[in-house]
Amino acid sequence: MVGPLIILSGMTLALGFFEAPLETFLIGNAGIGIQAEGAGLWLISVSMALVIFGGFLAWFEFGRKGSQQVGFVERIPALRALFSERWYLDHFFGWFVKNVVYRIFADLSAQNDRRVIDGCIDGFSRLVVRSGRALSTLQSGRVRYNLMVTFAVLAPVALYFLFA
Amino acid sequence: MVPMDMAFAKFPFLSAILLSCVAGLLVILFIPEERKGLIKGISAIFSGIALVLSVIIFFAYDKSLGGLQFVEKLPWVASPCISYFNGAGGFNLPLILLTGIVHFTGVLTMWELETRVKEYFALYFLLVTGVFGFFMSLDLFFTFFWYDVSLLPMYPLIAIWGTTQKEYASMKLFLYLLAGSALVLPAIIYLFAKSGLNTFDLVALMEPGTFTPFQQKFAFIFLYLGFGILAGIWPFHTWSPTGHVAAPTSVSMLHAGVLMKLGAFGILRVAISLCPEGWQYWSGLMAVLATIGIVYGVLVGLTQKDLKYVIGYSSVSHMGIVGLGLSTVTAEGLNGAIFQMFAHGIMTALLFSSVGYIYERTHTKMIPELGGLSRVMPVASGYFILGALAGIGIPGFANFWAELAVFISAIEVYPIGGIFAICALVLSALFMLRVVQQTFYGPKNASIKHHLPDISFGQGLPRMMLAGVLLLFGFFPSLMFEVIQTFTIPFMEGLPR
Repeated sequence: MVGPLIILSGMTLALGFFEAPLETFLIGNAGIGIQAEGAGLWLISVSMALVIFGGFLAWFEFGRKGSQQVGFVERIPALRALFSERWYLDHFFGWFVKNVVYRIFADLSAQNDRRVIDGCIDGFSRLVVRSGRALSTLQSGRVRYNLMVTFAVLAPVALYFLFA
Repeated sequence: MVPMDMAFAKFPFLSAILLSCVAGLLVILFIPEERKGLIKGISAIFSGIALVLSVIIFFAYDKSLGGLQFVEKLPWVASPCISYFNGAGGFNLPLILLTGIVHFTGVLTMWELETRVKEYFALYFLLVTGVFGFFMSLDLFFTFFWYDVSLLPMYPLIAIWGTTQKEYASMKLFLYLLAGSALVLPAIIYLFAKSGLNTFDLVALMEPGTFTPFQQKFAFIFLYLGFGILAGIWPFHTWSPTGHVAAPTSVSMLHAGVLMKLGAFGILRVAISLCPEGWQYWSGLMAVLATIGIVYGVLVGLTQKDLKYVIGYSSVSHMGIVGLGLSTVTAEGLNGAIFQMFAHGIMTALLFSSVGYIYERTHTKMIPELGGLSRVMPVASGYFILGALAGIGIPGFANFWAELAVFISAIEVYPIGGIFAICALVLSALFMLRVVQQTFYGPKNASIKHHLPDISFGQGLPRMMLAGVLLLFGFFPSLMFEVIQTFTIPFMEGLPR
């Protein structure tokens, strides 16, 4: 296990020292210096401070004499749970899919499909059927109904031609 | 718009494809009902001829020449000018090939049919004749004629050989599609009358300046909604999943695989080609409806328990991708939309074909009643999983390239719609993987028998073909893109801006 770590850290150090020729090899002269100009001193300072703090923390927790060999993450239950549950991302994903995607959006869309979209079409179909049935009562074959329908159609037409 | 170059056919390939279907239909009608094996054999031979001819014209199309090729024109009525006018180009070759593949594999998939075999295959051939005719016709009259020919057999095919709620589904499907037809017909008559050319010739009607911008905007919306009903655009899609569920396997394959493409192709061939300014004017509305369709199809699909309903709603979502591609008014969007029509057709045919086999053996399509099926039927499960992976848009399948082309152009033209559509793709992965996990993995459902037979080599042949086509165009997408681009690039260059 130590062998690969030594190789990797050695390569990291070497690449750090040969950054400029490596960058030229990868992106040519065009990209040189752009990153450094944009980065600013504060970013370098913060990065270095974080690295030094990390090194100090590692020494304090595990390296110094009499240390408990237990990291602070292990000692604080809330932090321990946060990391062991992988930042609760799986829980959040499960909750989101179940309660938001399924219960809200998917169920609502399915209800809309069945009750609103299909409901309108089915309702319209029922209306057509019922109107047809209602109109079919006029088709009883009796002369008086036929005359009544003829009058109901012709009267407005006649009125239109007389007064329009 | 640039007038299309035309190369007349030395051999009438397109008519030969149509004739293979008509001849198949006639031969089947003359075979006695009880000779079921012969009917199936004849169906396989004639559908095989149609497939071979479709493959030949797809690969024989001269991409360097472009334009319309294999053109056949025969005047029929002098006034108004109606011709039997067929041609092939980048806009319809993928769909002719798609129909050839789904037609042949559909016949093989129904090899075990025992109920009213003669009537079934006769109606099936009539349906396919209409579909082929619609894709290759360049005369508006014949376009509408073939469109109706392809719709009519759907009613008896579902009502007689269907399953779940078959009477309701067939009636609903038929009424919806007739309503679409009722919107298309007045628009066609309007365009014919306003052109003043006294012809139904699509190429002549496509000439620039034939219609005013107002006429194009007015006719486009009728044509878009009319054909859009068949393409399953939201909110006119509900006939489609119900129809898929009720239809017998090969009809489901044709229904989702090819018939829905008729609608999208109608929008492209009639609405967009004749009314390009109407297309540009209404493209925003098209994008909104398509995006809603993509997201909505996935969301409703998530709640479904019936395998066929799941595929039905995924089709609504995938057809939304076609609509989104068409709405971008870009060559890339059109490329993606046409490719997606082809890829979705093959993928959905594979899924329905696999579900058909599972249903025949287990007598259920309900996801909670299945589970652990891959332990009993690993090959049948494998075909479904392949189709599901293609549906998710995994690289290596044809669908990936089609969806990629549509989303790239959609993000450029409609960033918000594009983002919504891409988010829906993530959900569609959830939706398909849920089905795969619950149906094929996990503990085996107690109701599933141990000794259910898996797909044999012969039964697997149509599924192998479909999976092979998805992989072929997934690894060599340029085979398809190069053909499609012979239409889209000149078409977009000639578009009035």
